[in-house]
Amino acid sequence: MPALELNNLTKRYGAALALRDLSLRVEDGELVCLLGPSGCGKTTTLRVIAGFEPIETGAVRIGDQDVTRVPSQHRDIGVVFQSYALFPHLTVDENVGFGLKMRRKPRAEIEQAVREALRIVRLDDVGGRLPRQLSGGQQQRVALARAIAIRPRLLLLDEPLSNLDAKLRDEMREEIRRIQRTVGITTVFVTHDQLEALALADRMAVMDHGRIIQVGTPTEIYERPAHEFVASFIGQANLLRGRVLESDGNAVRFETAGGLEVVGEGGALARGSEVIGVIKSERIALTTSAGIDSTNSFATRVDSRTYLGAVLVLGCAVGGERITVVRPNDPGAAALQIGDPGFVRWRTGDCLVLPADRP
Amino acid sequence: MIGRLYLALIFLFVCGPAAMILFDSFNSATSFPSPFEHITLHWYLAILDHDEFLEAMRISAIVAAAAAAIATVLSVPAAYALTRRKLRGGHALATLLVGPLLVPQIVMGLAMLQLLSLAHIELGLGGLIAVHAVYVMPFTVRLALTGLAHFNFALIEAAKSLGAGRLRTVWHVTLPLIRTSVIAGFTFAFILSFVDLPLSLFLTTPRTATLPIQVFAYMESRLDPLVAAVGALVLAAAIGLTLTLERVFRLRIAG
Repeated sequence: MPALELNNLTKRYGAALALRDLSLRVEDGELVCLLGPSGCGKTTTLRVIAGFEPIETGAVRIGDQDVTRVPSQHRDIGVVFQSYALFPHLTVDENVGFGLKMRRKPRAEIEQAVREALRIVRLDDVGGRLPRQLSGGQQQRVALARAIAIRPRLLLLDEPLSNLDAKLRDEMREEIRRIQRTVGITTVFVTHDQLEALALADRMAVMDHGRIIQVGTPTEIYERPAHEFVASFIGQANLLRGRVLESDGNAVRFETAGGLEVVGEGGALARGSEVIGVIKSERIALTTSAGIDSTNSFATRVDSRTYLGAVLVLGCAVGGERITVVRPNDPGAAALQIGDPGFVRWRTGDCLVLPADRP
Repeated sequence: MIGRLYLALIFLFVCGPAAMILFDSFNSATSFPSPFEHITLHWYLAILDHDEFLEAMRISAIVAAAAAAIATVLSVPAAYALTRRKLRGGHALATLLVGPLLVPQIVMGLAMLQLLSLAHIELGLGGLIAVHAVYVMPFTVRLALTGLAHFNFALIEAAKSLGAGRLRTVWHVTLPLIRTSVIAGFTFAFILSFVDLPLSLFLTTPRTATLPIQVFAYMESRLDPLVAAVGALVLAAAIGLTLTLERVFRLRIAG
């Protein structure tokens, strides 16, 4: 039995559809990330699960209970808010113990649970302080402790790392993963940051326009995007539009709008149908000489160069297309300058051919 | 230098009249106002012989406390709704709630008198409290709105998710966080109602005369510093109340 089940959720804001027939199953102990651009409905989905937003149709099940009509306070969920939403007038201990106090637990039990929760998030000696006396990272930990102190059936996190600076964000990301594993709690995590999702998720659901476009493990989503939207949203990919010339088993040969003849892998696609070739930028080689095999190998000239420290991003004009190549910063790549000639090349297996999305 | 002078002038302008009252209340001269003769506590002691003033103070305290309480209890949920939900016409509604400020108080009192007689309700404390509550509502609404202006509504959802129902959320989260403005609003309302004359003019009976009414009645027949002593007492009480609240709740009514 899944720990959380969303069945055909539909939600409107006035005339706008916020969720369209959205379904998702989350297994017990799993961490699922909802990922998508802003306005895609990921936060709305989380708020529906939390019981903060009513839905028009569909059902939300937590464990074996249908909670669609159950108010938030009876759903037994822990929520970590983007702004943390710590009670500013209560101490850290009182914040963490709030949920248990509302459950009318005896004082000794509350104290014990608060200590335990603060130990799990590795916060000691701040119990008597007010939230405003804590750093951002500490507030984040208190918010987590407060959510898990009630031993909820489900943990929901709404962009919890977006208010932290970059270094702290990486640290807290690992912390959240560790805490989630320690407690073994089923978790839904909303983010717009694909790195966060790739690093944290057991499975991720990519959303757009109120729909889940694809669900899968980070590897599946990154390596085998099933739709153009996912391919363009995740990672840094080159998307080459074109029409199928021939399709033979898994291999697809197509001609791009810019006049390149490219071979990639895809399913059976009708000749002449519109397709999109997806090639991750870091899978493209940029060399000074043409290879022996002329398939997917094109003469080019570097026309832009961005230095990012660990990697270099090189823009290359190839026929009527522009190809972005990401190379590790080694002496060979670092020597490349704007105007240098060369060859771009990729393996057939690194070009995924998908039917084009309907506009 | 000019700034200091300016401040001193403003201070004189605001506090001058009150200082005059204080000055007169200690004056042994029997008419009011008149030049200072010698210092005496006679007028303060004389209040004790005037039961009608003591009774009027009691009535005023009851009316002010009830009116301020009613206005506060009605204002907080209204301000909450106006802030939380982006109500259609919310702005108009907020303006309407401040409406009583635009109606001359004497007109409001007269209107209430008409309403009571239409409904065949005898004059008593009820009508008096009702009209005072309406009059002080703009102040309690304003202060509640100020208190809620920077309220983080995610806190409400946080409390809910942690198992708090509506009432317990209000009690444990909302009220403690807007306490300062609510108490400030109540205090302000209490003082405004306590010292108000024109609202009560048509609505009091000899048994329900408020302090300002009593002072007014007294001054129609006699002019001695007794009323100055009463005024000084009211002033002292108002300042005392404000300072106490500021101490106890560490709130700043001024800022």
